[in-house]
Amino acid sequence: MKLHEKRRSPTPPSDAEIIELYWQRNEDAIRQTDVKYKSYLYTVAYNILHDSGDCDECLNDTYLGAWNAIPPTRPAVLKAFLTTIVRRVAINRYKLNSRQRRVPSELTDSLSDLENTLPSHPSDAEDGQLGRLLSDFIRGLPERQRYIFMGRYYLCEPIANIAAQLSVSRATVNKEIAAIKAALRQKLESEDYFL
Amino acid sequence: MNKQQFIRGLDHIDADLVDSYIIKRQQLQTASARRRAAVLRYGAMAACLCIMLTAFIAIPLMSGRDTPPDVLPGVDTPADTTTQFPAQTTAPPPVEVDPNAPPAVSFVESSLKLTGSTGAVVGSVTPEQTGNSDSFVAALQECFYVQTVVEAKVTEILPHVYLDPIKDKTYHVIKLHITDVVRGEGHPEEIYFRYYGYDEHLFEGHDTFLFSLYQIGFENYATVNATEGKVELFPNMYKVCGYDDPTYGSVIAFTGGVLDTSFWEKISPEIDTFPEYYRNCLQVEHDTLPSNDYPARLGESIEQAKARVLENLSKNITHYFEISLSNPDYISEEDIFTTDELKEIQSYVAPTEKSVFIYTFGSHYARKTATVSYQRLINGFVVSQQTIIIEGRLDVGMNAKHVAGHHFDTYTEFTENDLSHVPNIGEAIAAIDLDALTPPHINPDSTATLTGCEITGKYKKVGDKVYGIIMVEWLYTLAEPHTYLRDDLYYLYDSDGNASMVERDELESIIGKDSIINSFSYEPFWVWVDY
Repeated sequence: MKLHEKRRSPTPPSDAEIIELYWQRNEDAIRQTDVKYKSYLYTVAYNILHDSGDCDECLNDTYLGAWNAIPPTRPAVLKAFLTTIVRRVAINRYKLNSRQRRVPSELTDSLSDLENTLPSHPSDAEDGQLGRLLSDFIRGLPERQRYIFMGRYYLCEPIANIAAQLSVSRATVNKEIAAIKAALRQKLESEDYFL
Repeated sequence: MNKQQFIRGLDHIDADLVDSYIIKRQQLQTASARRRAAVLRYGAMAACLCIMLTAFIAIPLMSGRDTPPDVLPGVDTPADTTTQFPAQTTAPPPVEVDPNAPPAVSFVESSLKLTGSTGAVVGSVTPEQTGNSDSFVAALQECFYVQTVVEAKVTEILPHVYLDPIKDKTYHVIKLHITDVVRGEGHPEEIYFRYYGYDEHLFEGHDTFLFSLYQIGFENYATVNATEGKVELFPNMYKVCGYDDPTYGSVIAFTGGVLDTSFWEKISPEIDTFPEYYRNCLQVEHDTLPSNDYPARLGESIEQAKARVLENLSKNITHYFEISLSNPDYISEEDIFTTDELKEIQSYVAPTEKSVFIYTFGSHYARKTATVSYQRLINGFVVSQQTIIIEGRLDVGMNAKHVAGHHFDTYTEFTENDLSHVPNIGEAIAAIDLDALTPPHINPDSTATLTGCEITGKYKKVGDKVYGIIMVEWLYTLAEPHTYLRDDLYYLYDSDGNASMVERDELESIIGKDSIINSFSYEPFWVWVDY
């Protein structure tokens, strides 16, 4: 790599600047989002889909979603905002794919983790109500377990990645997941979600 | 409720949980996350690299697999140590109680990868990682952190290649003589410095360096010497701040007392996948940007660079997280130990011949809040059972509390008497012959590939006894795609130096539930994601 090529690399704008571009309806907002967050968003989508073609489409949908949502939204943490969008888009794509074939993905694996934690028969609970219950549950977890829960079940991160991020062994993460699952089962049972 | 409902429920969790997760992730995600992104971008290149690294790891580690599993390499334990404690099936590495060994106090993880760090330093949070980068000058956050800054000369280039089998990385190690501490306190004059991605010649040809450093090992920092096929222990191991690459700007070379940019021109193509992150150290060639606070300038001397480091410290840095020996400049011990109770704790955590506390500062300058965690290290190993946290507002008052380091552990205070009977498990780990060690519960066939071997150690106090525990874990990749096999073994040392290899249930019956005890099955398992 030649040094002179690097010197011309533009300084990435701050999140606030990118959000401002969205508010100005400046299409450069999408380009800057892509430059700054493409690889991260791609990773999130890839954890769920394991298909590069699908991931590319997910990214486009994510940028479109951000374009439509900002304004009126002014995200506090742009990266988290984009994460929420790309996750939803990717999961919708995953569901579509699942109807046609089994999709080997980290989402499949992370849900398999919960095989014995979630009841097999459906409940009539509203998604919003369940969301609030899960929010309370997540808030009640110790910090490390909270991080592992969000990584494993919200973003479908591989266990090895979570272990690397936390600088602990995979065995430690697995133990934490076992503790999370036990606590989650208890929480769901206490709220009659198994009934 | 079914899985789909669970997914939809997750879609409705509070947005602030996602925000805080992302921020925390940014805090934790350092070079490894960027490497993962690089893998996605440069898959083919990375795949080739992985094959090379796997071969590099597997060959030395597998070379001794013909050795029977019940014979521990490097072990010459007398028979009388195997008859009592508890039921010994295999002679472990010899261990001695060293009354002069400095036991230490620590407070973070209950166990950690010795191949990564024995524990002095956990990590660091920078404004960039918290997402609050506006208050930090880009050149500082990306290249040269003003956390621990030393001027040093290279006194020895170790000829061996070192290996972290968990991270699939090889390293080189050099020894530094610190000639001036620009920022920080308590650093020894002689330290070791670990870097990856380059050969042993990286630091040749330059007189003096300014380093932006993290301390990653206090004592008994253990890493695999791949050249000689053994575990080697180091005192005072450091690495560069920020990206795990000295040429990104965390090291500034000087020759003839003047900035020598040729050091940066050695940047490794292996790591050079994020050009935006090292442009700032090249901005010194322009020196036209008003916001360029990178400490070095073309044609300037090392003294001018050091002065600029100190000047940068006066800037409004709102987030700071400092670990180990370096104190944030704006907080003194007098700010923290303000009450009689806290003064008593100050006396308790003071270093003695037998123990050392490391401390972690988490502080918010603007809000005048601070959190200080004191963690007991014993013989270089983190002890999860004893943690003292002092937190509060500097202008209102600080409070102390004692917490456990892990949810499996309970708070335990180690007495001077406990610390006088500590088996030297670091020495035992160094005595393990990696080539000869084999997994005791599984029999991987010839098609299995050894993907990694992890060694973990910790001390645990149960009742009035202090035990040392070593866990060795293997991971094999089987011929069937995405199929793996794991195994582990445990050595248990008592405070008299008696030792034995124990099974998980035996170990749990002695030390209770503990995070060092694995729960995985010894059967092949399938996961989609490659290790």
